[in-house]
Amino acid sequence: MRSELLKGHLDALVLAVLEDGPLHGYGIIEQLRLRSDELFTLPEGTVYPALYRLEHAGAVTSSRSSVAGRSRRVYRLARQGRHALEASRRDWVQFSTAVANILTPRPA
Amino acid sequence: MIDEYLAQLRAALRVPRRRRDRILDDVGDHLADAADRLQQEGLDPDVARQRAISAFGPAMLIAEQINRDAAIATVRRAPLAMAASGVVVVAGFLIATVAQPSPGLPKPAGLVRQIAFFAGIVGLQLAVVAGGRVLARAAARWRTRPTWSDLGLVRRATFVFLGGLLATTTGWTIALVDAVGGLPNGRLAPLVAGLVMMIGASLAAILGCARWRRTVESALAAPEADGSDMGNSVLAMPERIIRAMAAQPWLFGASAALLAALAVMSWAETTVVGALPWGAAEATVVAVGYVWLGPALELRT
Repeated sequence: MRSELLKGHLDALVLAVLEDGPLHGYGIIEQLRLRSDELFTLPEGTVYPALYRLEHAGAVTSSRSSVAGRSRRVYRLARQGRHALEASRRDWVQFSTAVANILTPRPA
Repeated sequence: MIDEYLAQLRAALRVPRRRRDRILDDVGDHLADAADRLQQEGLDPDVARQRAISAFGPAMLIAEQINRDAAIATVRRAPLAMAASGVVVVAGFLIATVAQPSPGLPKPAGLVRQIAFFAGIVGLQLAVVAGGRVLARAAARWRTRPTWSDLGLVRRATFVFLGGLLATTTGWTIALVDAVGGLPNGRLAPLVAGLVMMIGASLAAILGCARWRRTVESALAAPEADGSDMGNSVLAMPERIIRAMAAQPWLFGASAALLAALAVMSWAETTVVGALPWGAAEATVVAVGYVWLGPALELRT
């Protein structure tokens, strides 16, 4: 999938992945890949600017924790992030419905 | 190999050291995890590390995104930092004047002291206008991401603000030191404390401005992001007011000059006639400043 199609949605996708529980950066990338059926192949590093943005905005929090015996920074969804995710979902449903209505070929 | 990549990233990042170290930790951990996973899948360690780096993306690309976000954050932080340093300079001056029997500079003051004080007033006006301009733009972007042009405005306004603040500190320091001769014994403590506050705040402003200018310039040097990433150009109330004033430049300039001249009259002399030269000088300064700096601060087109 072309990476520019993801622009503007990456923050919401990261929030959605964190909804299931805390994850470290590499785990977030793996979840994005798995849950998109390997369709999202962004440079892995681009998830970090998104994480820092979300953390700065109070949507996620982070702390160092042990992951598989190694110390890693783990990111968690904050309450503000849950509200942002709900808003993103509402916007997405409206937007995708409108696009589908336009793009779906009309019966001849 | 991973160390080289981290060194590239370190060199490209324009963020405070603590934040940079944390980013490098995150990226180092990520690359180590990715390389381990690829080795478990049977790849040679060197190939696994190379592939992990290539999947992560070019260091410049990641740094540009982080730098851009940091630069955008300065649009909101700049007015707060400007206000803080300006308030400390003015507070320092007021504390220093406590050393005197009556508030303000002792009168009648010599010409050197009056000129130095006048230069400080002009500098403070510059700083207030530049800081206020950035504050108006930050308020307009409260609910939306700043745009590329906002970064340019912050960069230019930072220059003007810093110049104004330094003129204020220099002018008022000269005026206060010149007034030392008239101070009664034992009242030097407030003077010294005030001067330390003024000069300290100015030095802090120089360091802060230098840092956020580097951040903003590195972001502006990178390729421009598309509109969806940088927010839109919705104009909020402060910007609308400024645009309306910019549409009537002479009315705006004349009002500002009149107000400033009246303020100087109330300070410089008790009689209108004696204050006239200062009022005229102030009106000239406001007019020249408006014509010269108006476009840079987007106060006129």
